[in-house]
Amino acid sequence: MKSIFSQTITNALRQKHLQVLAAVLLVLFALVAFNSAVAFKAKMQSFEKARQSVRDAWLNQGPQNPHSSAHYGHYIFQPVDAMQFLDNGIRPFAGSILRLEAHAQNEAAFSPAQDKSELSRFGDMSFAWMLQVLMPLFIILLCFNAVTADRENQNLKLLSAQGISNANYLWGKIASLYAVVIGLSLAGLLTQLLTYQIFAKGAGSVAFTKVAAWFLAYAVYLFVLTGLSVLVSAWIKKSNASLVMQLATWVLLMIVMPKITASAGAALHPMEHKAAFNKVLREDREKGIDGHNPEDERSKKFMDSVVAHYKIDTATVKDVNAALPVNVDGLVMQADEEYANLVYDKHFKRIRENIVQQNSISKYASFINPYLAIRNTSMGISQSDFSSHLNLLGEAEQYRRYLIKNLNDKMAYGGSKTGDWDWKVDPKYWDTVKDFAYPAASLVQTLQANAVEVGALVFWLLLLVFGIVITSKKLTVL
Amino acid sequence: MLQTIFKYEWKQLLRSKGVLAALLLFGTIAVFCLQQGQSIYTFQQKAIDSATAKYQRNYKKVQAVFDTLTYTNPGIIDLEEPFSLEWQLQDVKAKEVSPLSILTIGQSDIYTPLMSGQFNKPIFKNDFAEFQNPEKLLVGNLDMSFFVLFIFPLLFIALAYNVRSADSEAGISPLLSTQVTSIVQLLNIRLFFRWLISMLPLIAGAIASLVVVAKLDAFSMLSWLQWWGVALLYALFWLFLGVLMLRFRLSSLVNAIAFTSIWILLLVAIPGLLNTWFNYKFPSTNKTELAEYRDYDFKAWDQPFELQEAFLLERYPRFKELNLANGMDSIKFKSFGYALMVYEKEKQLYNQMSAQKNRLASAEQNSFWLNPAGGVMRSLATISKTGLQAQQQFEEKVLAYRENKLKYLFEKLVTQPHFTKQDFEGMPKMADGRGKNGFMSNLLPLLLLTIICMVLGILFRGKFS
Repeated sequence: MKSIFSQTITNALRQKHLQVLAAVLLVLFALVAFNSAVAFKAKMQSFEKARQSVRDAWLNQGPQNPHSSAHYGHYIFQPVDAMQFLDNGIRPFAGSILRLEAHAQNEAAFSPAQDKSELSRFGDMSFAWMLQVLMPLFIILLCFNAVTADRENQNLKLLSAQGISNANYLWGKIASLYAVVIGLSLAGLLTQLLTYQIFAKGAGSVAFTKVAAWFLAYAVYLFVLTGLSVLVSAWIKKSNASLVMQLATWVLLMIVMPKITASAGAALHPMEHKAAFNKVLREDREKGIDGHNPEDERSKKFMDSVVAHYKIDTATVKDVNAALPVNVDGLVMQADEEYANLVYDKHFKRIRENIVQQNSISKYASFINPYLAIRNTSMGISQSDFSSHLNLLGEAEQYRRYLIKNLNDKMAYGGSKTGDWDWKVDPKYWDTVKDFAYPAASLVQTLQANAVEVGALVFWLLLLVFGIVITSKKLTVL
Repeated sequence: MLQTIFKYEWKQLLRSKGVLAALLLFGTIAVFCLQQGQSIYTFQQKAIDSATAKYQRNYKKVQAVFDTLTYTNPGIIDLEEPFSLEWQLQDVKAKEVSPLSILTIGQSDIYTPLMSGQFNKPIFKNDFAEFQNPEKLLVGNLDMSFFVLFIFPLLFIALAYNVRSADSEAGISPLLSTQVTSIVQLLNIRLFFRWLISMLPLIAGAIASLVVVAKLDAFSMLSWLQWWGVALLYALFWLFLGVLMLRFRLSSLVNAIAFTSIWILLLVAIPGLLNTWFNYKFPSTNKTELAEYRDYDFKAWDQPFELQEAFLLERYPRFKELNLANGMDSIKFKSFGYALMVYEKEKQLYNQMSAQKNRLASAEQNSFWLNPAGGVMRSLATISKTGLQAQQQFEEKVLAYRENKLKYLFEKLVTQPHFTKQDFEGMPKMADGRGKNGFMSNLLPLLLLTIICMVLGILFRGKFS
């Protein structure tokens, strides 16, 4: 096996076209690294600037009625994580800004893709994309004739006569070719990290454990592909046929199939129209307390309960509002918010679950296509997948609820009287409202969220081992 | 001779079950592509129909109310006040969705085809944006333009990569060279036949697309022909590239690698690298403009009256004659000043964002000499009105419409005692002008490449054969 390893690796390194391809890959790695680092730093700075300017605007509202401020609202920008330097995932297509305001739960809007032309749909190059799509192509060109060439030039017969077992032969081939692949990929990773350190200084540090786990997933993926490519070469007699078949498979798995699974997901779980969504939302909301219509039946009931709570005798007290130690408007609005939250939870959950179901087709197709397994795992670890986007939306909504409750409570208990919409809070109050913070998910959490895809990678690994065992029993020298 | 070669190739084709299966598979993919485009078109059309029908209902309701107005009381009623009227109407404007968007989905799944037509609903409101699955958007669409751009060349490569080398490798080239017909001509005809076979799924797709789109409103035969004309030019490019590749006496293996490398270079590597560069050069903003607009809007009403007055008089010097001391008129005047100030701020921010998009589009256009496939994509999207240009034209038309309406409503409010039914019915309409198409200029690099391949193929026929 050792001699097979050294002979194969020497042969591979001697081939001119592979040398050229490896050089092209290294240049591309460097170009992508520089571009990603510079772009990432700019993105990080832009995010920090935007976040700070919105916070400053919040703090500098001056004397203001809390409810006016609730309408003024707050903006949350799509946060940037250092891992996205390696894999930007769905970020360009997810809403980049979210408005938080009273009475309404908004969707994240204005994805970066909306600023781009139709040419952006060709996709752009990231290191992750290169490992996912370009590296397999390099593997095909490296491995398509790994066994066929030996068979065609009778080497396989010679090796067999020398008593080398088929299993040793195959493992030797796979290990040697994989060493070239992983060496090149590792060089790529180091280039990325080094470039990041130089050109994106101060843009946030990359967690070692995350990078290690991320690259480990790719190492498994590339090993599976290298092994499968060698196995196909063993199963097919001619180099030509092996190449054409592997190229066709590459196109099918990397280019066509992801589109088919995504389209199938959309066809099986069609998206609801916004108009229909708004209609059911409005109907459900109308059943609740409308904070702006005190005459509303439910609002009246609520008012009665407040009066009862503060033990105001309506028979003797002329002006109930003046007698109450609180501003009922604030309480009514908060009650309305709480009811509205239930409505929003119900309907947004439906929409988001539908998207998750659409994506589940690609998720489970990971067992048919390893590309889908690594793509999703990579996006997950880099926090650039849909699940991370959902987490952000969830955190932002929790913050909106905290913010609006804080403002409503201020309105209710801050010293104003019911109906006094001109009452204003002291400007110092704004500083007591904490800023939005988005906690990064841990590695364990991201792996749990992508358990199916991680499972699929393990499945492919086991399938490869099984394939090697079977092939080593059936490999023929002619 | 042509007939004999075609007959031979046809028999070979019928014998090759693999190729027939591939043709069937590719034909099915073409139909699937068409179905994909159709589902997005139908989804958008449904959203547009529902929104415009709702607006029509509101319009008729308000129109009926105007019939009942007698204007006997002093002052104006709510409906005559522009903000209130807009609230009642809930005006919405829809983009004309071209039936050809079925063929090229382009960015139409990202851009919204509906925008508010209310003068006070900013473009940043995004009320009509449909829910999106970002993962699906990331993957992209399997539409007819994807089929033409990516899948057709693969089929052609699979059929044509060994048109010469297979004979050499089988040892029958010497036999062929003893024929009366020159071997170059023979190979050219065989290549042409295989190109025609690879065109079969495209032809099927073209016929099917005609059946699907011809019955839709706003179908234009000229646009449909333009679209397929671009597809044909692209297919011809691959044919002449194949002719040129024939001139190099390469083995099947090297041919397969060379063809695949060209495919990857043209459709994956160059566009991908350029997009990466453009993302760096023309980054998307963080949309802080939205927060800026909110702050401006929030403070505009509370600006001192003198400031709003000066702002308005600068634009309407004739208003100096109006009696602003009158309380009612000053509120009308303040509303006008506020609305116009906020609108102008919105327009200024929009233009700022739009300028960045224009710079990107222009840089992309210049890159078509490096990225001819990008030129084809832009041409197809331009004809189908699913590109950036069509969206910007729509947005600009809506902005202009809203500005006209704002001025119309407030001018009436300020200068007339009442807003009548006649005024209501005379409200401005959105311009129906069609933007420039200009898809041909995007194709020049591809055209040039095709001609170069053709000329080199002819010039070097002797040298390489």
